[in-house]
Amino acid sequence: MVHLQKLHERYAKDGLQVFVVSMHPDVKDAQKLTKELKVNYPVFNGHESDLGKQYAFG
Amino acid sequence: MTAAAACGATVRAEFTAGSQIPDFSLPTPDGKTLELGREAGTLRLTRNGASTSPRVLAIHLLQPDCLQCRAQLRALQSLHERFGEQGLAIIGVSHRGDDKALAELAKELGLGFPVAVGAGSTLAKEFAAGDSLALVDSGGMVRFAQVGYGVGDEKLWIEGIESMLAGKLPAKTGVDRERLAVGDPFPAVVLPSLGSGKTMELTGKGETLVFRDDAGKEARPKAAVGFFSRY
Repeated sequence: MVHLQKLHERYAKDGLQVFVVSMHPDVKDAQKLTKELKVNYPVFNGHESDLGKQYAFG
Repeated sequence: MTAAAACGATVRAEFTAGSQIPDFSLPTPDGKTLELGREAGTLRLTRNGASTSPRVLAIHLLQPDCLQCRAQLRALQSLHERFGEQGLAIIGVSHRGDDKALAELAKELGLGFPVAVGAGSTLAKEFAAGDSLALVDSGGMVRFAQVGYGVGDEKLWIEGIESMLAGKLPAKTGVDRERLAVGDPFPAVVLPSLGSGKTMELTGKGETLVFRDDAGKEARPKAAVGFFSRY
């Protein structure tokens, strides 16, 4: 997420859309983490989503 | 649309069914050594100077701070308890993190099988495309392999282990996963914002990426990059 933040800061102005799909089971914990990491690109909540079940493993 | 999200693609190697597992010698968090070798074509696992020849070996490449690895390690611990006396040996090898983090994790989870520190090792460099699992037969051949972990995967591991303990090949050599590859259509991401709970969208409409934020503001990015995060 930190590396993505750097990409966001560097390339957003050129048209790069950085995003994360959070699979963290605890929304409050995930919110706290993104706040601590100063993430200011979009973070989707994908926990228990069909998209997450289809593509997120590891 | 000029780019898609990098969700599952990898350029690094991983365990592959039908290939031999290499010999290795790795330090354990308690300052000893865990060695995998061969004697007359049979695997030998040596820990603290004592050697065994497992009938089935499960190797898990993991990261100590990975939530999903914790879930996978708990599942492996239950397999250790179920099949350990029948000839299954399990080893966990970290491919990131230090010995202290690995020791704390093993203690916290009450692991009954050995763990070794593999960060920077040839094994990690060659096979840690992600957090991985390989089921290896007594001759050192990988018979089942997967990257990542999804709840319920252990059903396949159990089938594989039972088959191998019975001297048969597993019915499946891996899990059925969908991975995004170069050339695949971009899957629509329509989910709540983690912050506000309001819906956001990132979709590929025709040849154009469209992002709509949680306030309804629309943008047409030239490219997108993202990943699924378990923190």
